[in-house]
Amino acid sequence: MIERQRDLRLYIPVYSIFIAIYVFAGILEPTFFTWKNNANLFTRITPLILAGMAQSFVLLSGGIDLSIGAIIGLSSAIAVSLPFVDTPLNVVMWVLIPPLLGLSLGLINGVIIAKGGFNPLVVTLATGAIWTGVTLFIMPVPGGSVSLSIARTIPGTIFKVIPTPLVIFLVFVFICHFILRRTEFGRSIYAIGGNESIAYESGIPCTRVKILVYGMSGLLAAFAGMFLSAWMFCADALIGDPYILNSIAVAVIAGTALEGGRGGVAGIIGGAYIFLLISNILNLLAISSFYQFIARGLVLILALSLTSSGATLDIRGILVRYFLPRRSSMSEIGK
Amino acid sequence: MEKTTSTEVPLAEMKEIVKSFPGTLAVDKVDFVCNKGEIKGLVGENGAGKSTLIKVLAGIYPPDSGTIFRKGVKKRYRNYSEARKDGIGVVYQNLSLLTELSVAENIYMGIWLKNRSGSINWYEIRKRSKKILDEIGVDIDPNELVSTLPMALRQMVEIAKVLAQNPEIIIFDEPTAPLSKEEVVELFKMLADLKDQGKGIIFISHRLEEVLEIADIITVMKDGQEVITEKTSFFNEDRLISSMVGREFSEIFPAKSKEVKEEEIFSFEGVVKTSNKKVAFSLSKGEVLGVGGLQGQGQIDLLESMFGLGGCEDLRIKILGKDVRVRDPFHAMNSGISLIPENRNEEGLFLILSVGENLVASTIDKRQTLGVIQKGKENGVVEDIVERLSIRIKSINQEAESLSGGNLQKLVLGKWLISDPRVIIMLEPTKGVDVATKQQIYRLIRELADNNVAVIVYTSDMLELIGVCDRVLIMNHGFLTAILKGDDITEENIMKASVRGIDMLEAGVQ
Repeated sequence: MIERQRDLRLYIPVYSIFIAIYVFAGILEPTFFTWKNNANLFTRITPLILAGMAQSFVLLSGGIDLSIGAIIGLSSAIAVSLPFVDTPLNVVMWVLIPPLLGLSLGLINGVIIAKGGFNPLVVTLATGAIWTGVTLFIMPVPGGSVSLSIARTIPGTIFKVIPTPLVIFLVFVFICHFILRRTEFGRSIYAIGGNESIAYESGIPCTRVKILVYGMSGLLAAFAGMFLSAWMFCADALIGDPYILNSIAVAVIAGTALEGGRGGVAGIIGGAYIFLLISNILNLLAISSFYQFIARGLVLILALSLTSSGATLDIRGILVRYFLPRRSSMSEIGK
Repeated sequence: MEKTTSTEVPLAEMKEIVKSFPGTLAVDKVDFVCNKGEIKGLVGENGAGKSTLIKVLAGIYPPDSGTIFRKGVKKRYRNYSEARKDGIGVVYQNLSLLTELSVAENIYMGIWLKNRSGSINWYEIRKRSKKILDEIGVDIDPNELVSTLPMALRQMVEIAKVLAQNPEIIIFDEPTAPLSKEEVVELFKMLADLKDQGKGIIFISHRLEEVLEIADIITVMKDGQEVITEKTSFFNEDRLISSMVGREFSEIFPAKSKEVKEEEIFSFEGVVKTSNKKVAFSLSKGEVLGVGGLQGQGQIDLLESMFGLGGCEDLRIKILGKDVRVRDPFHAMNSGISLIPENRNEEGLFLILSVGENLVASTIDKRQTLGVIQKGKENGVVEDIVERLSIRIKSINQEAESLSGGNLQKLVLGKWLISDPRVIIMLEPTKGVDVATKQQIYRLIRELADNNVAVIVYTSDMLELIGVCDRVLIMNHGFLTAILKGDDITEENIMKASVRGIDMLEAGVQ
């Protein structure tokens, strides 16, 4: 594939750090490698991966989406408010309604930003506040319920061996990666994030693509919200709040540039694990949660130096040079 | 209507095109024809209207009046995308490549080839990109990221990107600027091939010898008008230069200093990073120094380095005989050097602040007592300068945004005059302002020089160099090709120094 070389340059550092941290955690606490602990990790990491991918789409296009947390909250509230008696119709409704809602909320963001020409940061901050308000109106206190078959399957296993969350996030990452790499929509996102006026002059329908990007973000956030409601067996209007900033952090650690045009979702699993394992390890070391905030902040700064190629402290450059030397032969004009 | 592709119908024909921008008439009733299998050269000074004319053809600017015929059919392109779909391709001077994407992806940007399933067919894109690159004789791996390529190869990718659309008319806007001599030879071979394939080619270049070599027919533009269009055999380099210059000299310039005292107040030595060539000059009391040449020949690098913005190495700057170290703009200002940027709206002013706040912005520290700004003093200084420059405002609390271009320029000048500079560097001080304001700015420049301020003006307007400056530096490819003084400052001399070929430069300035 045409992108392979570039992907490796971007993702080898992410996954090497992930593996290093994973092994380190295992050495600290031997039970870390147990199947049970890992199944637990799969469950905890899935919403983070989904939210991180939602944010990645928007960041790649040069925007930002702060309404992800509100969409997660609203979609999980809707998911648990649907009839939960275990009938096929109810399950179908549970599967269809929250994502459609998330998609439409995202599209609304996109229309305001792309058609109105407003700043995405302010627009999504505002719409996020509105939707959190709506969610609190629907569900002032945590509660609700989901149908039993969903609650058993989603955080559980398929055929009693394969953890469902693992299947869910692998499928989603694969689909998103495919969209970004192999579809016109995906490539347009990179072009717009790289330089919107060049993209426009190259005949890319920028407005449409930008609207769809926010739609995609809303859709993925809604899936994250559904997963949370199935896992928790209930919903909370504010359940999505931590995901606003964590999604940005995960996307950046996974190699997506905040300026847009560079990155992808292939590193998202590694990124989410790094983010999650940091606090996991600090827990194992019995370090106070105050320090965990500090550690997360430091990891984020490190991640920025990994992904910003223009940074003065070019750690990515150093790692790339170390892991994957650039081809030395530079082609020349004429033969 | 029956389709006739007879050779008489030109691929594109522009009739009586007029395009004006606020303050300038960029293109004034110009006719322009592009024929099948013909390379048309387009030459003229900076600001002669070449680029504007081409941008009108490519749909980037809508013309104020006039019509464009494409194979005899009247067209009105709303944007470049439309023109591009209609077979007009532009190889830009400022490349339109996304450096974080691969070569192949850039070439097929916006016209992605797809599988039957609708997903992008990278295999086919890579294969066809390779084919196009091979056709133009470049050996680049289509998987390579554009950011890893040197400028010359990026230029070739840009050309491949245009060719991927299979255009009938290809416009090359200064394509040879980043290329070496051997690369230019390759490019010309490619142009000849395209011509044989029956494409219409428009070739814009400042390097006259190249235009004379490659073009079949040449149009010369000056001040937005077409001067002459003739077969290339009609021209030689001198003839081209003389048709590009030779204007009436107007009365807007103030008298120059009568006698220049040989008392050095400023001297500069440094090595231009891009060309690795040493540049040295000095400035005497009462002189205005002009820096000219074609655009982008290292002048900005040279001037910005005096303000601590890089561009030159091994700097040695002396003001009034004293060595001055310029590490960054803060140091530069403390040593009495100020720089008035070209893009005044973005770099020179705080548009949302008031006139008064803008004027005092760079000298806030000068009028405070115990860390508190003395408003009274500040207003006095502001009113002084507003009067001196006759800036037309309703009140000093008016927002800078609401002022006209000329007044904004005066505002930037005023801001720096308040700081009492010993050296003042101005980039394009009269860009986009009307004649009356120009006159005032020229008078101000002269006044500054008379008060022993070292004034350095970078301008792409030749008349300004001749009318305002006592000494003129001409730069070409990062080389200092001429220092003209007094009666030697003529259009011919400036033009000659600006367009000399690189080989002559290498020989002459070793």
